[in-house]
Amino acid sequence: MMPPLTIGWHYLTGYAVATDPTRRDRAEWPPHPGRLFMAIAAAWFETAPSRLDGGDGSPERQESEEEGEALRWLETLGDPELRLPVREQVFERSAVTVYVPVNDKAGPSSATLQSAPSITRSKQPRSFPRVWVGDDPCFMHWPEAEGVAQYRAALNRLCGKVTRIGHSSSLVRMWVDDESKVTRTVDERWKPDDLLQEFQVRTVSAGTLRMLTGRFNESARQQHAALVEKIEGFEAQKKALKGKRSKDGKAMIDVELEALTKERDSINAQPPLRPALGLWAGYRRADGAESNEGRAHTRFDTDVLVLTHTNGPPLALASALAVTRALRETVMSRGGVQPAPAWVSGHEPNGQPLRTDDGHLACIPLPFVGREHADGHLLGVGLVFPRAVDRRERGRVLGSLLLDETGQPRRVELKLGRLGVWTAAKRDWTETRAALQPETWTAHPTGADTWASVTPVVLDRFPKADRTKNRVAWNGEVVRILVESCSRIGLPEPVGVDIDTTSWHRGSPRATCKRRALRGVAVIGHNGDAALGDGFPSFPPKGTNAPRPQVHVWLRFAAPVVGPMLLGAGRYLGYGFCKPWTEDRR
Amino acid sequence: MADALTLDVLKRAVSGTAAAFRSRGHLQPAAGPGTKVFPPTYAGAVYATEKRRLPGHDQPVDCVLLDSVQSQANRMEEALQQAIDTGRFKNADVSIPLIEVDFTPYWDPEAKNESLTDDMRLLDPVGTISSLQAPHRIADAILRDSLVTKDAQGQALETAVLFRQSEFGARIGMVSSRNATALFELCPTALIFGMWDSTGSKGGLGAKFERALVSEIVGINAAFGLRTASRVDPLIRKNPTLYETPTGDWTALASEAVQVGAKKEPKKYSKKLSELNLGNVTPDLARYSTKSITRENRETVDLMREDGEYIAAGRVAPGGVTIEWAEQTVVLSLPALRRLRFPLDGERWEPTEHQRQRDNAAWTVLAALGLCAAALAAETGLDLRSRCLLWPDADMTWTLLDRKNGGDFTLAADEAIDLLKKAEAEARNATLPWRTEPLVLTPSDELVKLVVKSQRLAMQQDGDSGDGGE
Repeated sequence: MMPPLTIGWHYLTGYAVATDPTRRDRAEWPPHPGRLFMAIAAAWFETAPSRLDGGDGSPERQESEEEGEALRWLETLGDPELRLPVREQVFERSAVTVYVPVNDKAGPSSATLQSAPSITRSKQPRSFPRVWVGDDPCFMHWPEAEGVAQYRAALNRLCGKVTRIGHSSSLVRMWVDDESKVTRTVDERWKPDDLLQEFQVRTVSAGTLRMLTGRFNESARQQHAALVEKIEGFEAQKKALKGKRSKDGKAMIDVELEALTKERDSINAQPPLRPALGLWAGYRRADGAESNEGRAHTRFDTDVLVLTHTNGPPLALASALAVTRALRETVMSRGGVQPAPAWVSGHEPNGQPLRTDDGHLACIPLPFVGREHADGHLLGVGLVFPRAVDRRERGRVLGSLLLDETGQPRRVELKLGRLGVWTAAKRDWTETRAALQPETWTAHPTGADTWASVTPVVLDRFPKADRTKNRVAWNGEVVRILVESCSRIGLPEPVGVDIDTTSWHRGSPRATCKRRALRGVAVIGHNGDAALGDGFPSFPPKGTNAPRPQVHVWLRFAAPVVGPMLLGAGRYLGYGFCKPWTEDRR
Repeated sequence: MADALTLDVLKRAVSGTAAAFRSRGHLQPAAGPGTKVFPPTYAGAVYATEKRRLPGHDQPVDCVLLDSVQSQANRMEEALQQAIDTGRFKNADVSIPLIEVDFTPYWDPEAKNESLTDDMRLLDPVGTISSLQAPHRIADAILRDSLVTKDAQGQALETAVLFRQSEFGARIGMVSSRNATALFELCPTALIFGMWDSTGSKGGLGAKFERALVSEIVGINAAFGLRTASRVDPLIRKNPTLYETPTGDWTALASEAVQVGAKKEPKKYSKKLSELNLGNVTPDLARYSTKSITRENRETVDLMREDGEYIAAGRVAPGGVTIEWAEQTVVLSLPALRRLRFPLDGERWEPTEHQRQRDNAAWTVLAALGLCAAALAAETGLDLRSRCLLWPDADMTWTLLDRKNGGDFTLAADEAIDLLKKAEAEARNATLPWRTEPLVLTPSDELVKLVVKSQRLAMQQDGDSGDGGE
C-alpha cells in the first residue's frame, strides 16, 4: 500500500484572506489547491539562494535544490482531498469597499491622510474579502503519494517557510502532517469529483512550477539587466575616449557593443506576469456519515442539489407543485441517461411503480419561510436523492443538464404553463441565503428533534373515521397514518405529533384553501364555491379518486433526526416537506 | 502566570522553528461592558460584519469589524512616533531609524519670509511628516519628491538631490528580501508592516515586502443599534425655501434672488437649509440615502432585517453596536522575518557563521520593534474613533507558537522598549547599520506647491474629505 501525504496549515489570525479569482469582491473558500501550491512555491522562490548570493555548494543551495525537486514531485500527485473546518463555522465577512491612499496618482486631492491629516492624497477603492475560519487546522491529503519518504524532509522545511496563503494579512503556519500524531476536530472532507461537483477550484499539474518560473522570468530579466549595465558602461567609456588614438579604441568598443546588443536583444526580458492557473477541478463533499453516528437519517441524502431561481416570475409557495413538476419533467426528458433510470422516474422499465424501500428522486420547493418577515416566496428548487444512489450515477444523469462543457452552471428552463417560464441554475458556492443552504432543510450534521411541515403532508391513505362527525377519532387516525409515513422513510416513531391546517412556519400558506360560496354565478365545472385566502391546492389524485386530505404537521422525535424530511403521498413532488422547528411549541 | 519575555527567549524564537508570536486580548468599551461603540463605516455607511460560532450559542452570532489590519498598522506606527516625539525612546536610550520631511519653513501665516511666494505658503501647518506617517512608508511619494541636503556623514551637499537619486535612495532602489540591509538601516518598520516600492525607477516591479505583523479588532456578539438625527434651531421656527443670489450665495428672500426662465422665477439654491447646518431637522432614525447606495455596496445584506435582503435607500441604517467583548488579535510571523537577509553593504550574502549571526541579530531587532509597537499602541487603551474607546481586560499576553518550545509571555510597554534597546545593542555589535538620528529631507518646491493647492482644494470643499475608510 502506498503511503499517504498530508499537508496541514493553520490560519494564525483565524482569517483566510484571499480573493475569489472569478469575483473580485468575494473571498475564495474553500482554498484552491492551486493557490496552496503557489504559496509553497512562493516560499521556495523567495528563500532560494539567488545567482547573486555566494556559497556555491553550500548546504543552503543543496537544500534549496531538494526543495525544488519536492515541488516538482508534488505537482504530479494529482488533486488532493481537502479536509476543512465544517462549513457551518466558516463565515465570509460582508464585502465592503475601502478607500486607500494610493502612491501612484499625482495631483492635488481633497482627501486627507489618517496618519497626517494636514496632507491630502487621492484615495482609491479596494476590497479585502476574507472568511472567518477559526483555529481549527486545514489539510490537503493525498491518499497515495508514492515516493513521499524521499521528499518529506524537504517538503517539511519548505512548508515551515510558508508565511501566508493569499493576501499578506492571511498569515499561516504550515507543516507536513504526521498522521499518527494528529488529533483532529470534526472536519469536512472534500473530494475531487467533476461530475457532481459542488464547487470548482484551481489545481496544478506537472509543469506548473516551470510555468510559474517562466511567468516571473527573473533569470532572463537579471541577464538582461546585467547586459544593459555592461552596454551602458561601454557607451560611457566610448564617450570618454578623446584624442588621437581614440578612433581605434572606439572601434574596439563598437565591436563589443554590437555583440552585447545582439545578445541583449535576443533575451525576452518581459516583466513578471501574474500567475494564472487554467486548470480547474470540481469538488464535492465526501460522505460525512462517520460524523453523524447515533443520529437517525431519513432515506434521503443530505446532499440536496440546490437550484437558485435566476429569472422568471416571482412565485408563491402555493405554486410549488407547478415548479416541482416542471423540474421533474425536465430531468426526465433532458437528463444525461435516456430513458430515465428507475431511481429518477420512480417506475420500473416495464412501467410498474418502483417497489423498493429506497424511494426515488424528489423535487422540492425552497421557499423563504420561518423568519420574521418571511412571505413564502420561492427562492429556488432542490433535487433530493435516495441515499442508496451512487454519486457517480447522479452525476451521469444530471451532469450535462446542470453544467456546461467548462463545468460552469448551466441555466435550466422550467416551463410552468400559464405561470410563465422560470430559469434556475445550480447554486453558487458563495450563495448566502439561508433557504438555499441544504443544512437549513436537513439539519446536517447535528440533526434536529423537532420538525414541522412547510408544505402540507398528503395522507398516504384516507382515514376511515368521518372528520365532520368524529373529529377526535379522525385526528387519532391521521396521527397513526403519519407515524407510518415516518417509518416509510426510515425514521423512528415520533414521540409527539400534532396536526393543523395552519403551518408552524411563518410564511407558509394553509394546508388547503378555505372555500367561500359563490353566489349569483353559475359556472360549469365549479362546485359552487371559490378559494378564500391563501392555501395549497390539493395534491392531484390518481385516477378518479377524490383528493386525499392534506394537513400541516408538527413532529417531535426522541433523538435528533437528520433530513431532508419528506412525508406522505406527495413527497416526491415536494408536498410533505418539513423543516427543523427550533422555537418553542406555540 | 506567564513569564516576562526576555531577549534570550526572543533570540531563540526568531532563530528556531517557531511560527509566530500571537496575542489574543479581550477589550471592553471604556464606558463599561454593554455600552455602545461605533464601528468604522465603509463606502455607503455600511459596517463590515461576519458571523462566528461561539460556545454556548446555538446559532452563529453577529460580529463587526472595529479596526482593520491596515488601520491597526497605522496606529502602531503612530505609537512609535509618539514614543519618539515625547522623548520616551530617548529617555530609555533607544533610537529607531526615521526619515522626516520638514515642512516647517513653509508655514508662514504672518508672511515674514518674503522669499516665499503665496503658492509656496501653507494654509495649514504640516510640521514634519515621517516615514512612520507616510502611507507607503519609505516608498511614499512624499519622500520620493523631497530633497536630500546632507550626505551619510552629515556633510552638506553642494546641490540638493531628490531622495531616490541620492545615495540613500539608490540603495533603497536595490533592496530585496536577499539584501534588506538598506531598509533595516533607514526604515525597519517597512520590513515589519510591509512595503511596495511602486514609485521607484522600476515602477510596479519595485521591491515588495509582505507584512510580518498583522493586527485586527473585531466586536463579538454584536447587536446593531439605531442612531437618531434631529435638530431644533433656537432661531428658525420653520424652514423657508432658499434662493440663489447673483453672487452665488443663498438668500431667504425671493426678491433678492436671480431670476430664471421665461417666467422670471427666482432660482432655488442648490442646498437645503439643513445642509447649511441651519433650521430644524425632523427627528428620525438615520437611514440609507440614495447617494449612499453604490455599485460597490448595493449587495450588502441589510443588518436590520432578518430576510437577507440587501440595503436600500430609505431603510433604517444601523447606528453603533453593543458587543459582548472586542477581540484584538496580533500575530507577528517569524518565517516572514527569517526570509530576510542582511549582507554588508556592497557585498554579497555568504553562508558564513558571521553572516548568520548578523541575520539573526537583525531578525531579533525587527521582532522586538514589532512587539514594542504593539505594546505601545495597547498601553494607552485603543481610542479608535469618536465613541469607540476600548480598554483591555488584562495585560497583553503573547503566545509563542512553536511545536517544541512554545509558551506564554507578558510584555509591558517599558519592558518592550528595554528589549528593543538590548536587541539594538546586539545588532550594532554584529556590525549592522542602524541610523540613530533622523534623516531630514526638504520637500521639493513642486511638492510644496502641490500641498498648498490641495489644502486650498480641501478648504473649498468645506472639509469634504471623500469617503471614509482607512
